[in-house]
Amino acid sequence: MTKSSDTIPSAMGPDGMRSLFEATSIAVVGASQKEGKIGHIIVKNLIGSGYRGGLYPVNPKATEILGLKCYPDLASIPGEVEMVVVVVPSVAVPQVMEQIGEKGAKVAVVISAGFRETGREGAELERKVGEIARRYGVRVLGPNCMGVISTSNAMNATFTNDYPREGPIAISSQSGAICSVVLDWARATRIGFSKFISVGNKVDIDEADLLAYLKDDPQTRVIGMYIEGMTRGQEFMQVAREASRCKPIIALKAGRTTSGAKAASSHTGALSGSDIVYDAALAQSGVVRVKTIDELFDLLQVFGTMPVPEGEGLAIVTNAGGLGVMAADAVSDNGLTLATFAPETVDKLKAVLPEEANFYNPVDVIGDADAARYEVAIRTVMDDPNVHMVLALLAPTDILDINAVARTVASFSGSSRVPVATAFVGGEDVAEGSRILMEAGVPSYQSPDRAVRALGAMVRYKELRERRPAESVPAVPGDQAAVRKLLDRVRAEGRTALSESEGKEILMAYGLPVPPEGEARTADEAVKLANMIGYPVVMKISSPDIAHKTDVGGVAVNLSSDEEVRRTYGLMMSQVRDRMPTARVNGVTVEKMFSGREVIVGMVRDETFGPVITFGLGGIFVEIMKDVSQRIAPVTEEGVDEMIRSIKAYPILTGARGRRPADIDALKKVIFGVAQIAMDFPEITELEINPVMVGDAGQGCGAVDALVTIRRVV
Amino acid sequence: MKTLFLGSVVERSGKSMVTLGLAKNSPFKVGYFKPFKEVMMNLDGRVIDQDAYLMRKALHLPYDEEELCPLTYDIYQPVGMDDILKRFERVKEGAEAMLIEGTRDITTGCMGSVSGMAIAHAVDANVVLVSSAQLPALDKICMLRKLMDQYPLHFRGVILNQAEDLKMGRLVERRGIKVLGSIPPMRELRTFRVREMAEALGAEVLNPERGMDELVEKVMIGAMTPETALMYMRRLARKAIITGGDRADIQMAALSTDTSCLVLTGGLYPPKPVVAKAFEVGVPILVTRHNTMEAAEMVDRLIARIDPSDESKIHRIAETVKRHVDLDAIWNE
Repeated sequence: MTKSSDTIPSAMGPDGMRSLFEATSIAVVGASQKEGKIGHIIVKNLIGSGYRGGLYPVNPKATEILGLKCYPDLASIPGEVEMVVVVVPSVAVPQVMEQIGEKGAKVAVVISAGFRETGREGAELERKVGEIARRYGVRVLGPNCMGVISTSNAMNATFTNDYPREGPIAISSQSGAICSVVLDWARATRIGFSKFISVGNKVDIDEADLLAYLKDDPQTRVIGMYIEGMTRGQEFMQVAREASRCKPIIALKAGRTTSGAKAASSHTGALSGSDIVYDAALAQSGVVRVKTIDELFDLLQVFGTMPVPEGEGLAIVTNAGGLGVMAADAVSDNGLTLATFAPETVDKLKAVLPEEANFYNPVDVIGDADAARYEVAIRTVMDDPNVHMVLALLAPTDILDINAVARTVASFSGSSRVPVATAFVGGEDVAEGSRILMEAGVPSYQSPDRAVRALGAMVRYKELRERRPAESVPAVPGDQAAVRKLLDRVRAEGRTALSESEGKEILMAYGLPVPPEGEARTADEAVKLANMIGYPVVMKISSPDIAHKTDVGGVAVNLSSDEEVRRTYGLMMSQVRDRMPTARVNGVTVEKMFSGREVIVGMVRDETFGPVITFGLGGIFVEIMKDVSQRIAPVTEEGVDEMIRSIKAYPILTGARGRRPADIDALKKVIFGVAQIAMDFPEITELEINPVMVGDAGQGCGAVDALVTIRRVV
Repeated sequence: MKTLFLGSVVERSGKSMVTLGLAKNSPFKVGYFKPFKEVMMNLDGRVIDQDAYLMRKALHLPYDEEELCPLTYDIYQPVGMDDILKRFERVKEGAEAMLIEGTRDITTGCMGSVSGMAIAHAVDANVVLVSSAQLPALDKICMLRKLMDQYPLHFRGVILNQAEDLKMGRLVERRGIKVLGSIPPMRELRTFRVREMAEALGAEVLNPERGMDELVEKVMIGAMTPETALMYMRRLARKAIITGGDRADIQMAALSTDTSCLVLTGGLYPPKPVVAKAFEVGVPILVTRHNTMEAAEMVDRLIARIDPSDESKIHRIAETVKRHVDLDAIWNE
């Protein structure tokens, strides 16, 4: 951040959050008698959803709205008001917010638009609203939002009449339109909601606040989120880490690509430039990230209807071999396994299925199957101890009563430890069957791979929940005072970029291994230095004007004799002179040659999530393959192990093709050190060691280069 | 009357700055003449030389810019030495000493026999060369010295500009060339204010309340992916980002780093949320009709410019020249 930004910290008590969903009295400021007006629809929706608490329309120009007594202002409402829904024009909202504060309401839902999304005057207005709310300790949802639904409270405080049935899903969305989409989808799939929150511009209540409430909400079994951008990344991660152990969180974060980021930035002013960081942050906090809206729907459906399976063994029952094959393909893509049946299961299947059927997984009940055959096959595989979930696939045939199969499968719902999902594949023929299944709470998908993807997400979530990583963050002691002094000096000089040697000084202050080096101004000095350090050595041009030393012939490695050092010195000087005649050259640095595998360890400070630690193999791997892993600091022991293991080139470190394994312990120390430096010095915005040379096990590491950037204002 | 010819060895040697500094530190009432126009500017419909404008303002000269810097060097419409001398005589009146500023290279005009050296010879001026302290320029100084000996000219010596260390000066002196001064780099000269940038671009400023007097030290063109952009943006402080009005991703990335202003090109206005964010963090948004390339070029020219109304900058220049240049050798010998 360059300058102070007036973000409103959501540090107000949890009371307001409870009131958002459990309010016993609601006032609607800006309520209207005119049909079609939002102020009218909201009152109508609250009545329509059967809200049982006190409901007070507020409008100075009306005496009665939809049969309810209308009040001229909040103050004249007798007794307490817990929640206020605001639908007046944006310019009037600050004044209303004062009245809300004076009335002592706990939470305001500001539906009104005309804030940040309209530009600077709107942004100023929004800031004012936040400030007033904070002064009174009122929580605010919105502005520029659709409102909130809490089915357990029979409360539809939105302007959509798509009031969903009660159910296990809580969903929040940063986009109003996505809210409508979700509610419409819910109707089609017979899915029920516990809570539905349109967060709008998030002047106060954001995803982190919602998670803190929803994790303990007994009505909610799964949380879905549509996110375009966040500001309180670290708070979100902290809450999400806890919440995801209680229940699954599925997030659709849009703006993944350059085009998407551009669109998201235009839409909400979200900074989506660092999408890979979202990937890391969400994964690290146990949030399941999905890429498309049907994936979001598919996962909500499966998590919302099925218990999390006890294992990863899937049994497939199909009447079409082709569907079975496709499902089997998807199984390995999604981290599941096709369960191997116990011999008794196979025997039982042989006894009940025609002999042309396939008795192994996937079980093919063949084209002439009827509902009864499906039933017996499913029941048999369910009893197998290796089976943890069942997927029933169906292709329409002339003899098959699809609806009967649907009713049969539906009858299994909730009756067994083994959940059953379905994919009835086709169009018109299967539509009614699908509806029957969903009505019964059985997830029904349009293709085998979507079904398997959803089941795979459940198994992944189960693993994630069980992993419960120990939160051990090793502290790396460092000479903070020395680094502080160095950084202050750099800042006093008005610089933001540190030189390589300054960067290395910081690394050394934290005990990171930096190979010995020195500076030489002549060939003779270089030779003397090389002898002091010990061969082999690396020689680099020393010039404040040359950033990319390799490009101008300014780096030579593995020099192993006086003669070679002398010759290289001359060659380097003439090459650099030729390619960069105007550069100032101080001489060369000579450093100990450290051989090993080249890796890169870096940190950039993300505006939303804080220090992001990057690890990857160096050279072409990082540039071309983009084979890197990322984690947000602080990093735990387990986190670092996972970081190192998760790159594709990991086998190169473990000793592929007869090589000795690399010194992973020493590498881990470098990563921890970088994370520690990042946490100790918030002004460091970027730190990159490229490369770190990792020797064979027991031989240690060497940080061969260091790039450090700081910002002027902390 | 003392006449001093200031010749530049290479482009961007800082000749204008040194000319200004010498004039400000002269014991005499100094007049100014620059034979050939170079970087032009538009002042209320008059197209005039930027240096002439600066010097007229800074020295309160009684002549128009068109008189102080009257001619154009064009090989198809040659200018005779007589004409140059006539113009020079006109602006001499009232001055105790004259400063003649050459073009960006003292050899310019050789083909028409009106090079800086020829002019210096014709007016019998002392010649001082202004040069950067880098190797190719130093080579050229040695060559020029030989040429000047042949005229012969009164070559007084060289002023090295942007000299990081004194080593270069010693090298030159060892070859018998007097070093009249070694001026260290003045980083603040290569910066400008957001306000100047807006004026130079003729840009519309969407939120001019805050940040217009912030310094711009670096200019970056944002045409890459937001992730790459962020990487570079984190490394640069006090920067101006030039990007398309439709690149909300780059704009938001810029606003999350140390940015002095956004320059949006192509006459495209940014999305409202970006305006709101910029307003909050106090970063002005400059919208210009020029395309990104044009805008970048205009800003590039701005870097070399000294604003005559920027009194503190002019004062700093005068002080720096005073401290690092042997004024006595230049004005009194």
